[in-house]
Amino acid sequence: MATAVRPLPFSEVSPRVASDAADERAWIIAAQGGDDAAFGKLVERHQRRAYAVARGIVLNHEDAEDAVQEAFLHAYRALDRFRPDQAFGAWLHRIVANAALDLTRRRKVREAEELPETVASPFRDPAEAADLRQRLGAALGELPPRQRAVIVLHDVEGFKHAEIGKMLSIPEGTARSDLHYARARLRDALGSTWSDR
Amino acid sequence: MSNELQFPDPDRDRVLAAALEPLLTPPVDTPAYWAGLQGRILGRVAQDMAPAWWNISPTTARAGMLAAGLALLALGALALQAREIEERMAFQSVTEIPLEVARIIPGIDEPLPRPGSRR
Repeated sequence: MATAVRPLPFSEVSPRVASDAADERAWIIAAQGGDDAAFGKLVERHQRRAYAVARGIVLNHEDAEDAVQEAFLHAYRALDRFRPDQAFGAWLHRIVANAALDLTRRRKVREAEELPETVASPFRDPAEAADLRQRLGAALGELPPRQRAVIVLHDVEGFKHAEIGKMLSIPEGTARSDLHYARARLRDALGSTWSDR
Repeated sequence: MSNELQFPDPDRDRVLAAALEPLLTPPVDTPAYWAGLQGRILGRVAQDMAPAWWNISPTTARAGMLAAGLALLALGALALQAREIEERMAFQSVTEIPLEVARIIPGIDEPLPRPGSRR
């Protein structure tokens, strides 16, 4: 039987200490000067979270990969306009979210793909976990792409309403109401499984 | 039970986030996968940034247009100058007496007397 490996929460994958921030700043400046290896470091650090944001919006693996690649390409082209004193993650996530939203506009969202086999779950019973994932995935798929973006950016990535508003070019109040609506829909979908916990 | 009691953190729903996280990971979440994705991203960037002969930057295009314009002006000036020289030579060829002829027929290169005047 395959052992479920608990991946690090996305919040823990984020840059943790000040030296990380200093490294990142140095990489940004180097990348702006044309150092591709430095840009590679930025990709390495942020691709996981970028993927999570994209996946939450486009809902399937292939489109998430496309959106992430498109976003990093866009970020590379726009790097000279980025000020190193800004938060690179927030700037990048804005690009990722917009690339993913753009992709959903251009393509029909395919049916929910097969869910990962060895993912960890807060639920003890594997059958219950599989059922939860299936229902959560379906409920996520029923949300409008912007609401998916808001809930992933807020609850998974930990961005504030104002930051999300800027990222998605919507008023802060809209981000709040999107989050409220998306949560309610997901909780409804989870129903008894959720309230039993 | 209200949602508020089930989800005591109004700012960030960590329970929901924990439930969502497995849906936001790739099917194969391994270091090799991420290294591969990084490679594809950088490959795409390199491909996009590679200079192609048809990709001329606006600066280069402006410089090229300026150079072409200057070259056209210079060519035009040269053509005008050449035409002028050609016309002058053609005029001289009919108005001036060649040196060899002047040597054979003395006085041929002297100006013709005005009608009615006597030498």
